[in-house]
Amino acid sequence: MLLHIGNMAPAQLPNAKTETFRIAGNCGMCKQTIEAAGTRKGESVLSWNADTHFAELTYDSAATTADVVLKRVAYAGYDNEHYLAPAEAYAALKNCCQYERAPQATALTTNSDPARVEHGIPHADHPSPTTGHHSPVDGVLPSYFKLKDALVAGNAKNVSAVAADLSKQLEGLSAPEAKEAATHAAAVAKAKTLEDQRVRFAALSESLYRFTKTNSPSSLVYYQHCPMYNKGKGANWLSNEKAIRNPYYGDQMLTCGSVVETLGGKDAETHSHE
Amino acid sequence: MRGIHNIHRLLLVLLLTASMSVATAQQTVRYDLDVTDTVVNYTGKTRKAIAINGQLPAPTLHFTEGDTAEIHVHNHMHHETSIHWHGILLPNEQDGVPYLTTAPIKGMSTHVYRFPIRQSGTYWYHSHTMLQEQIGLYGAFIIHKRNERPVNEEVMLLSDWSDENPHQIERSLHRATDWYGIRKGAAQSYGEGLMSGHLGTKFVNEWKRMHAMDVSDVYYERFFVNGHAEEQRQHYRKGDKVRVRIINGSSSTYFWLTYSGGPLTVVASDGADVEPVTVDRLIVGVSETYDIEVTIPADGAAYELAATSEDRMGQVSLWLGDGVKQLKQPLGKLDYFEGMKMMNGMMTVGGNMKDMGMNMSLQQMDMNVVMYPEGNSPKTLNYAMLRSPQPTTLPDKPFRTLQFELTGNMNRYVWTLNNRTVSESDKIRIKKGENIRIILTNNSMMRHPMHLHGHFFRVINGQGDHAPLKNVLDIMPMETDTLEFNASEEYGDWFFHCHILYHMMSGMGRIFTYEHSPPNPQIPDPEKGLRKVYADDRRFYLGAEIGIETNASDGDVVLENTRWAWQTDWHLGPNKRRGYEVDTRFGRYLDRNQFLMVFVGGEWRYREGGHADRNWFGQVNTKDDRTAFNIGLQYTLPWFIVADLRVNHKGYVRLQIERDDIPITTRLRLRGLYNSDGEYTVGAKYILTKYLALSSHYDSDMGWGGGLTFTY
Repeated sequence: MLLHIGNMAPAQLPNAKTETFRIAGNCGMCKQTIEAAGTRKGESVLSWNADTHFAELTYDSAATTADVVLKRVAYAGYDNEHYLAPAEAYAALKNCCQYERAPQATALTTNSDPARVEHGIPHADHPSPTTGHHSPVDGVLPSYFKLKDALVAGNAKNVSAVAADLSKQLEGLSAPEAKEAATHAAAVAKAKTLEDQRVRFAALSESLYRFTKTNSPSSLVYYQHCPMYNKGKGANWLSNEKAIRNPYYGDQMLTCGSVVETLGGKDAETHSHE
Repeated sequence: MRGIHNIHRLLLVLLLTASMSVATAQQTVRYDLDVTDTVVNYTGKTRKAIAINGQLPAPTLHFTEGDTAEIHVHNHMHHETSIHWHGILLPNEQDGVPYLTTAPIKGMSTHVYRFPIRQSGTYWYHSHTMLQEQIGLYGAFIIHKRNERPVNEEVMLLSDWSDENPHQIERSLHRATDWYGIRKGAAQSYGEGLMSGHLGTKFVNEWKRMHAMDVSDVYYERFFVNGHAEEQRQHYRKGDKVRVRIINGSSSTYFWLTYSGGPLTVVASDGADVEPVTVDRLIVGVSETYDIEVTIPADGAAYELAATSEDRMGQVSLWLGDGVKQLKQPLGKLDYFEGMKMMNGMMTVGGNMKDMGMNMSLQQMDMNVVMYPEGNSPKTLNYAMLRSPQPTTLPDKPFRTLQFELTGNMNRYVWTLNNRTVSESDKIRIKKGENIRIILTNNSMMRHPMHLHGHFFRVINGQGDHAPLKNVLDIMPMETDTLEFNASEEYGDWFFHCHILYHMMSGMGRIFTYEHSPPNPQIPDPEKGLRKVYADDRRFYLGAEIGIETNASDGDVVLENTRWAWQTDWHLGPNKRRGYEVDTRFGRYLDRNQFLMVFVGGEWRYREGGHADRNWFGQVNTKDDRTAFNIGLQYTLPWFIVADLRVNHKGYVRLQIERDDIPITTRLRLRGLYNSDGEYTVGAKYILTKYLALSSHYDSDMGWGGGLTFTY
């Protein structure tokens, strides 16, 4: 999985260890900031590729850890596999550097304001609120839908970015289907061409479908089918909307396909958010 | 007749069953706490600490309102200990202040605490013996409401850790060490002032006899949440509301709380509910507790609830949720020179604080904001925003008003109320049932978290009948705050003190005593007990600075307490021609700021081959062989110049001025001395460690030399 990027000679660090991480970013200016944040004399050398968004980190494993380096990179404003940048650090980036953020970080900016007005009820008398039941699949579906949207849009760069995030999230879950899906998502992230990405996305969709089937999601999910894909063999995908937007052909054949199954959603009714 | 009898019998049975069910509801909850010496290693160095049930911090104790707590404390150490139940309403002898309210728990013995739990909320417990709290004797004490099912609830017990023995910390503070400032990068030297355009600010600051600006006095290597640098709770999902019970169990560190997943909603303070108030951040004073609620905004990420020490030297995190970690923007470094400028504006040359008519109170105007790079924009909690959900008005009884001025002296680390320590003042007698109003004015340069044992007070904060209940009040410099409480306990002695451990130990407090209290069986000899309590702030601290240089040994050794000082210094040349001088004096500081000391003492000097000199006052002396008895006074002039005027038993007068430790750079210090005998010294030292410096000096008698200086 190691991508050897550029001509960085492996730095002369003792106890050197090299790992590859995905770090969000856009441009040459990002590259400068990311590398400056990740590189520390005698400790770590970070080299980031603006096209793939992968960074190669070589560090002295006795002096520091990858986690510490990635934390510095996030403090400099760049989301990565371990840390999401503080909102303030992201906002301080130049316009051209403001990459598209992970959904977890975006949720923050959209959610924080309602939360402010929400708290009108005195707490004193009512016991701690019980929260709705959430399915483990709830956490990963938004990223999957983002991936699907990127495929619809035909943006290969975005696809690998979102797929890498999804793979990370899936890895955190214990179900075997999730582990399987994680492998497929990682394959999407690594795929070089849009075509290749779509092939692997089909496999990812199959395992995620099985995972979703066993862990009913709290909102409705539509299992959709495109009969034409792969020379008539067909392929499926999951969507959060009923209307067809085909990830396998994008705008070539955007509305080709049909809903074959509707999953979940019952919890969404019984445990509506207060 | 018979029918009525049967009905009576039935009623009796019903009554009995009812009372039995009440009895079972009030259950006794027993905990066994085994206190042991232990060793810890947080920084690569092995250090002594104290553990309860093998852990540090001590285990979290859970109760439900209505329970009876029965806590068996087994002291397996060879020295004594105590446990105070912070914020808990209980009979006085259960309060846990050794020698005052409760018997000390001697080494290798067991003490049983038993008290009914008649409140709910977030509290904690800690040792009230010497400095044991600093090395681990603290834990959370959580009381659940009746019928409350705790869901989504976490404890965040914050603390500070130093590798240094706390007794050394305490002694060093009394010696006004600047080592902690050096460790923090907060030495605020003239060199740094010059580079940042604040040279004048630094000069004015020292002119007003203020040492380097700081928001906390001690350098801590580590800060902890529940004993760790960070903790994570992975089971939270999008939309979950988490109640976090925050307890500041540190010895002297305030913490800022911020959250990367949105705002924080404060729902309780010091255990008492408040109406929810939503803010971007809040500061938790030493020993305060706050319950806050935060929301998890999305799945696939862990959100950071960060606690940053007020001096911004460290941060601990509680991660809520699972996945990639969403960081909170860290709080930037303090701009000490801006703080210094502000202090210069507020401090008179005479050493008093002036609030310039701003009527500051309730943390509403945080002057420290001038030091914060992020400024004043985050919405910050202050006491005026706290509102009790229920009316908290006191019984309709007469009020008695007590005024306390919080006073202190950073240079000698003396902290007092109305310029009196605990041992220097009488207990304050209160009558059961009366209402007490306390008006606090902070005329010192530090903030103080004032804690009252065994009672809640209402903080008069503009919320009228709904004034919030607290048992700790943080009061910032120049603020005036009003507290009210009803003397609702039955009897006993209740401590009211600053909860910064080193301030409390220096005597910043008072003891309230209920009139006509029955004898306390745990304190068989109250007078002797009180002497033990008073001994805490009467202790003497040793300090020394000894130079071993090629031309001479210059040294001084001091032994000082709140008011008294015994100082000895010497200049010993390498041979008889250079000469030997020893001077010793015993004195007392007279004024509130302790600029003035009067003393009696003696001196001896011997030299061969000298010649007679005429001093400034026309008196003649050879300085070759002098044994004299002196009386005199020392006065610290602006810019920390110490003037020493003395006359010996033969009428010989000497005036000397001296300035030590002029901070040129972070570690370079200059000193100078000049006296009416025409003697002078200039010297420099470069600080290597807390105890060691490279040094050099020129002395008019001894000449040039260089070597090492040991500081203790």
